[in-house]
Amino acid sequence: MKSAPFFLLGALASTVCAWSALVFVPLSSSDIGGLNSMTEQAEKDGSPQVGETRFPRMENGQHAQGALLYGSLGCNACHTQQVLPATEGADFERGFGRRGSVARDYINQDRALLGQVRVGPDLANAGLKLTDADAKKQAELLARLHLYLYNPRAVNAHSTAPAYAFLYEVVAAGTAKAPDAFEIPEGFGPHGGPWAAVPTEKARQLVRYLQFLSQDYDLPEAKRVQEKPKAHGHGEAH
Amino acid sequence: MSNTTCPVAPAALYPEADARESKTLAAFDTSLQLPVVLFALKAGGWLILGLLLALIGSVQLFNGTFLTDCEWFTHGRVQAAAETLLTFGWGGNALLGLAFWLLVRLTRRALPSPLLLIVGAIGWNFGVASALVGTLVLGDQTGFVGLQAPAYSAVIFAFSLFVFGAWALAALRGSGSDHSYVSEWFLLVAMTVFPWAYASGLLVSVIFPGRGVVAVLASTWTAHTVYGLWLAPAALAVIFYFLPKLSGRALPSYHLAVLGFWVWVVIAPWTGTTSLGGAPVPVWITAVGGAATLALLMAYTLLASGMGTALLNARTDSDGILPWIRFAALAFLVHGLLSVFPVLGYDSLRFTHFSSGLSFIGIAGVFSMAALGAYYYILPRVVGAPLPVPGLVGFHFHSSALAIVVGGFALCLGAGLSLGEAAVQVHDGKAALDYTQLSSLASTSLAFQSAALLILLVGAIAFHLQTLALWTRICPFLCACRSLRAN
Repeated sequence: MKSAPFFLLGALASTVCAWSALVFVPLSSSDIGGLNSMTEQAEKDGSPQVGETRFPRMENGQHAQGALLYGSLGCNACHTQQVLPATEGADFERGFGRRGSVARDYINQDRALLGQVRVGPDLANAGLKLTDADAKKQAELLARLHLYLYNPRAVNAHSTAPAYAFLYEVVAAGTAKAPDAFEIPEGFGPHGGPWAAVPTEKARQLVRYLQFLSQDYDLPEAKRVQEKPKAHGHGEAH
Repeated sequence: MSNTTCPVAPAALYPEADARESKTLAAFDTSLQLPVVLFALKAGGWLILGLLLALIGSVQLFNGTFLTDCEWFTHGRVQAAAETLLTFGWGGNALLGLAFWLLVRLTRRALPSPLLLIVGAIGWNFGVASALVGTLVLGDQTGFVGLQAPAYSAVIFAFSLFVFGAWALAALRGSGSDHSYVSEWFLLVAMTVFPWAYASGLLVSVIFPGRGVVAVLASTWTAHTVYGLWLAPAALAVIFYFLPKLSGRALPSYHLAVLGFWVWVVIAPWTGTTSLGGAPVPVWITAVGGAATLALLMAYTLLASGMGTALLNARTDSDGILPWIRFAALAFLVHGLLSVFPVLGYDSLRFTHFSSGLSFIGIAGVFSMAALGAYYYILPRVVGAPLPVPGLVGFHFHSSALAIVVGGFALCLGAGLSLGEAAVQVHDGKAALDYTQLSSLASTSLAFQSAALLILLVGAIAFHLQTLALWTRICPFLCACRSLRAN
C-alpha cells in the first residue's frame, strides 16, 4: 500500500486537531481548566480576603473517602450530579437546584462523576435535603437515609435502587450501642428478629459525602433564583 | 483430511477461486490458523460473560432486589464490567483476529511470526481479566461511561494497541499488492489511529486527570472514538470486503466509498462531545460536537451510496454470511440517523436510556453482527473444516437480528424518547412524575431489553460452542496426542 504514509498523516492529523480543540484547549483555557474557587470579595475586586468562605467548598478526608466509595459502588450509573439550567428540562421544578451547574462547581473534584443517566434523582444538591439545624430532625434524616441505603424498599416500596446491606452490620435489636444504629422494620432484614443495623465506617463516609453535596451558592457566572429547592417525596430526595 | 494431523484449508472451501488461487488462499488462511481461532475463542468467552453481566445489570434496573446482597454484583459495578467486557473483551479480541485475517487477504502476504500475535493476545486478555476483577471485586472502574476499565487495565490496552498497530503497519509495508482497498484504509484507522486517540484521551481523563469537568470532557471524547475510530471502522472494513465479494456485485461507486471514508475520518473525531449537551461545560464545545454529528450525515450518505444496491439485494450466499453483513450495514446507517436526534432539539433525551440504546445498536448491531458474520466465514477456512452445525448460523442470525431490533427500540424509544418526555412534564410549577413513577414507566421497556440480551446470550453460546469444536481440531496439544495415538 504505497499511499500509507499519506493516508496515515491525514487520518492522524484530523484526530490530533480534534483532540487539541476539544480536550487540550479546554484543559489549558482559563474558562474551564484554569478556573479558581470564588469568594464574595474576589467576585467584587478579584482579590479574596483571608478567612473568607470559598465556593465550591473543599472536601475533607471523610468526604473524599465517601466520594471514592460513591464511585467504587457505581452510584453514578443511576444518579447524575448536574443541574440543568432553568431553560432546559424540569430540574428546578423537581427541586434539584436553584441554578444550573457550571464548570467551576467541580474544580475541587479529582474525578467529577457527573453521570449520564437518571434512573434516580439528581444528587448535586443532595446535602440540602439531608441536613437540618434541628438536632432531632437531623438524626431522623440520617436514620432514614441509612435505612434507605440498607434497603430502599423499607422507605419506598416501589424503589428500584439497589440495597447496600453489605455496608451495615446486623445485630439483635436493643444490643446496638452506636448512636447511629437503627431498627430494621419487620420483613426487611434477615429472618427472625427484631434486628437493628449498625453502619460500618464505609456507610458513614458515604452518608457524610452525600450530606456534603451542595451547589447552593452564587457564582459570578451562575446566580441562584430566589426560591428554595422544594421538598419532595421519597423517590426524589431519598 | 487426515484425522491424525492438524488440518489445512482444503480447496473445496474456496469455490469462487481457481485451483491455483485456492492454494494461495489456503496457505494464507493456514498461516493464521492459531491466532485467529484463539482470538475468536477469547472473544466468544468474553462475549458470553459480558452479556451475562449486561443481563444482570439490565434486570436490576427494574428489579432492585436482584443479586443485591453481594458488593461484587451491585448495579454500578456490574454494568461497568459488562461494558468493558463487551467493548474490550469481545470487541477487542474479535476486531484483532478479524483485522489480521483481512490484512493478510488484502495484502496477499502470509503473516510473519503469528506466534508473536498469540503473545500479544495473552497480554490483551490479561488486561481484560484485570479489568473484570478490578471492577467487580475492587470497584476500581473509572465511572466514565464508555471508558470504565480501571486505569491499570486501560494502560495495558493502550500499550497493546500500539504493539498491534505496529504489527499492522509492518504487514502493510510488505504488501504484495499494488492496489489499496477501502477496507484496508478503515482497518488502518482502527489499528493505527485509534491507539493515539485512546492513549491521548486516557492521559487527560484517567492517568493524569484534568481538574473537574476537563477529565469528563476528555473521557467523553475518548469514549466516542472507541466507536468512531475503532469499532465502526472495523465493521466498515468487514462490510466493504464481504458485501461485494459475497453478493457477487461490484460496488457501484468505489470513489464514493473512498470519499465517504475521508469524510468519516476527518469528521468523526469531532463528534465526541455531542452527548455533553446541557452539561456544565462551555457551550461551544457541545456546539462543535453537534455540528460535527450533523456533518457526519454526509459520510453516512456517501458510504451508503458506496454500498449501493448490494445492500438491499435479496440474494444470499451458501454460507449464510451475507445477511449478517447487510444487517450490520443497515444498523450502521440507523445508528447514524439516531445519533442526530439529541442534536435536533430533543432535549428530553438527556439523562435517559437513549444513549445506552445508541451504544447497544453500535456494539451489538453494527460491530458484533459484522464480526460474527465474518467469523462464520473465516473460521471454517482457517481451520480447514466446516462448522460442526452449519444450521445454527441461520438461527443465530435471526435471533440476534430480532434481539437487536427489540432491544434498540426498547432503549431508544421506550426508555429513551417516551420516558424523557414524561420526565420533563411540568404541571402547576411541579414535576408531573417523581423518579419512582418514572422508573415504573420504564420497567416494561427495560424488561424487553433484558429479553433481547438473553436472546443474544443464547446466540453467543452457540457461536462459542462452534468455535470450541473447531479449536479441538487444531489445538496443538490435541493434534500431538492424535499423532502419537496414530503412530
